Amino acid sequence: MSTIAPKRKRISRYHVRNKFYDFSCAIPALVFFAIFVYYPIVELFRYSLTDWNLMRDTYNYVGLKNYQWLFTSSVGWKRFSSSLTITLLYTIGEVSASCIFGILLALLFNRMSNSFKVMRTLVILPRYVTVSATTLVFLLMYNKEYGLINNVLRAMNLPAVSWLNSQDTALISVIIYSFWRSVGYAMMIYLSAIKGLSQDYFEAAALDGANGVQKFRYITLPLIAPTTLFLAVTSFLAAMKVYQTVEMLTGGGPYESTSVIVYWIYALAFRNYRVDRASAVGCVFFMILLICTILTMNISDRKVNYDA
Amino acid sequence: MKKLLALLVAIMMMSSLFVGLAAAEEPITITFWCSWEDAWRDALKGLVEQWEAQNPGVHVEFVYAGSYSESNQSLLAAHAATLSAPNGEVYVPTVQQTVGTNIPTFAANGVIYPLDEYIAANGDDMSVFASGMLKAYQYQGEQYGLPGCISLVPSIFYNKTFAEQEGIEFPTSWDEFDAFLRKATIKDEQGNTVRYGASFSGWGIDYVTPILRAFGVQPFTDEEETQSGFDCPEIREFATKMQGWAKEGLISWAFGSGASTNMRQSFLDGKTFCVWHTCALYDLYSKGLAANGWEIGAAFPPTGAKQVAGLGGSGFTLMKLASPEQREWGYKLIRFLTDTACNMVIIQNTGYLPVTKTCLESEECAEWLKANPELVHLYDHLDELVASPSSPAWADIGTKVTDNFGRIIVEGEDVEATLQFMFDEIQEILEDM
Repeated sequence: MSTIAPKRKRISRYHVRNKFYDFSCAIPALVFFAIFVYYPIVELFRYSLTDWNLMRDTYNYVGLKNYQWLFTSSVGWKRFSSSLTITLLYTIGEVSASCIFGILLALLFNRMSNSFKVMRTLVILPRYVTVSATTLVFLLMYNKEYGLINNVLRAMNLPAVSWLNSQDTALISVIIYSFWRSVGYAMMIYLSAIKGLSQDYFEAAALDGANGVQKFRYITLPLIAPTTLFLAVTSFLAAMKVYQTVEMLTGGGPYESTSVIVYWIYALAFRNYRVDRASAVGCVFFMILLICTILTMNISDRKVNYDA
Repeated sequence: MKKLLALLVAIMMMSSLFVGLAAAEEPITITFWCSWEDAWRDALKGLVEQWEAQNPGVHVEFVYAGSYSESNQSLLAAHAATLSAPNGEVYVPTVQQTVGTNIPTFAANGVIYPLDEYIAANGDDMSVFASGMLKAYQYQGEQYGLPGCISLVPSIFYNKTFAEQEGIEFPTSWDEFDAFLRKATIKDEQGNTVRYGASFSGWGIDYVTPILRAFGVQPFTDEEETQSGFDCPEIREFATKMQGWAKEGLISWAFGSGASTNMRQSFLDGKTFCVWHTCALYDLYSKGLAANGWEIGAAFPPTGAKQVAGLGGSGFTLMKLASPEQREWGYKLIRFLTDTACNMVIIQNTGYLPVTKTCLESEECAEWLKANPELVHLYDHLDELVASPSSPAWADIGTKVTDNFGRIIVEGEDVEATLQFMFDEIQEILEDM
């Protein structure tokens, strides 16, 4: 009686060559990432264990002293917790506003008439103009004495607002600027998602007597959930790393009310010449972002329906 | 064959000799980082080009490196890159235009190079510099830079036309200041301020410190600058007075984003009687007022416990990581830029004041003052200038001081509670150093 031996999977030479070919295509990108992303992260961690200030040609390894300063000293902990809170408030403000208004604009512009095409372009345009140029315009608009916004308020017999110089309004003003830049991008992403939805669902819902709000609530929103997740994750990470906008609009003020964490890291390194401490804050911030990303991805795997 | 080989060797040796000669004649390049903009930068560039023309063997790469703080950030990056360069590449400039407050940190960490050996080798007489100017560029007894120009902060500019029309005299003491403000301020029927009596540069610690000193406040109580002197009755008097004037609408405390621009524009529009700013902006203010048919007046801060103004301006330093040859030529350039003739060009093109006695006593300077008589009020006080503290903690402390005065004067927060908060913050910073 003969037995049939199980077929052994043989990896052909052709297959190996193909795999190698695929891998070699990724090498340039990997090299790029290794030099410009992974190596700086390793160096950042190394500097956080030293007392280097960018100026001396030698430095000492000081163990976890910089982390100890960050978590146990009153100055370090107070600044870290306040900067992190400001960063989170900014991020929540910008991401939620962009996503909500992005959907609404996408629904509005989901038509193909020429006038809507022009309007869509106008909405997305701010994202492609440099921050330095647009912040200058906003600086003029926000100016308490001579700004456009306060001139309009005065014309309506309303009191002028100190947009960038009051701790109550400065962060909101920065968020408004960032929202103005990012909402067009969110709109375009949502628009492409909405256009890709099958009309069958909507026709079936219409036959069942669903109105516009119900179609949006029970069909559109669940179907574009992966898009929302994509936008939320990418916008969240970008918003957490905000620096240039703050530097240009408020310089972290007034009274450090807009001093986001990256701004503080920069100030520590280049104004206080404490690269060691700046590196420690950078490492902790990196870990926070990493944890946030992993959590978001885990939640998305469970909550978002990609098959829909 | 042997002959051919010998000929080839001879040709090679000759050509290498020519290459060597060519290399020796190759001009040396030095890099100059400038932090001035627009017309000021053009004036400085013109002087550098003039020196380059006088020294054909040297090429100067003139680079605008951004503001003083941006230039410092670039310098740190360049310094770190040079330290770790595998083949000895040099990324730092040879000469940097900088402010005196950077000297202690950069000198202590080996970023800049002392000039003493070059001063001695060239037999340069440092006594030509006005008293106190050199000190701002010294660290532990060594001269790390030379002053190129000085500014007086705050310098007070007022609308002379208004003053003459309304019979207002700028006060010479703080005791007269309240009466002056009430005369110089104009309010409408509803009690809203139409013209402020004075506007202060509350955004910058260099502007605020001299006023505090005038009230008798010392930033530090020891020479090592480790003990804060802010917690004193005089600072409470200052804060209470300023808050009261601000609440009454007599003064404007310029603070936060766009503060400098707003203050300037308000003065040029006639909405502020006088501004407390820097003398470096004399030209801008005088021309701006002239465009509206008004004349400018200048004054030194009033006398209080002391009569002082802060020492601003900029100077030039040599980088330690530049090559010895570059440093040698760099020093010659620095010396050229700080001599009387260049000093005169700089003051005529800016609003800065001269640093050398020879320039102050020159005929050109006398003529310049004749053409700009208001500046005499400032030139008379050059010996009363006080340099900013040089503690590495000063930048952080300065932010706390200006922030908390913003809270008190602009936001009207409780004086005692806010000051106490500020003292605690300053103490924390000093303990953290």
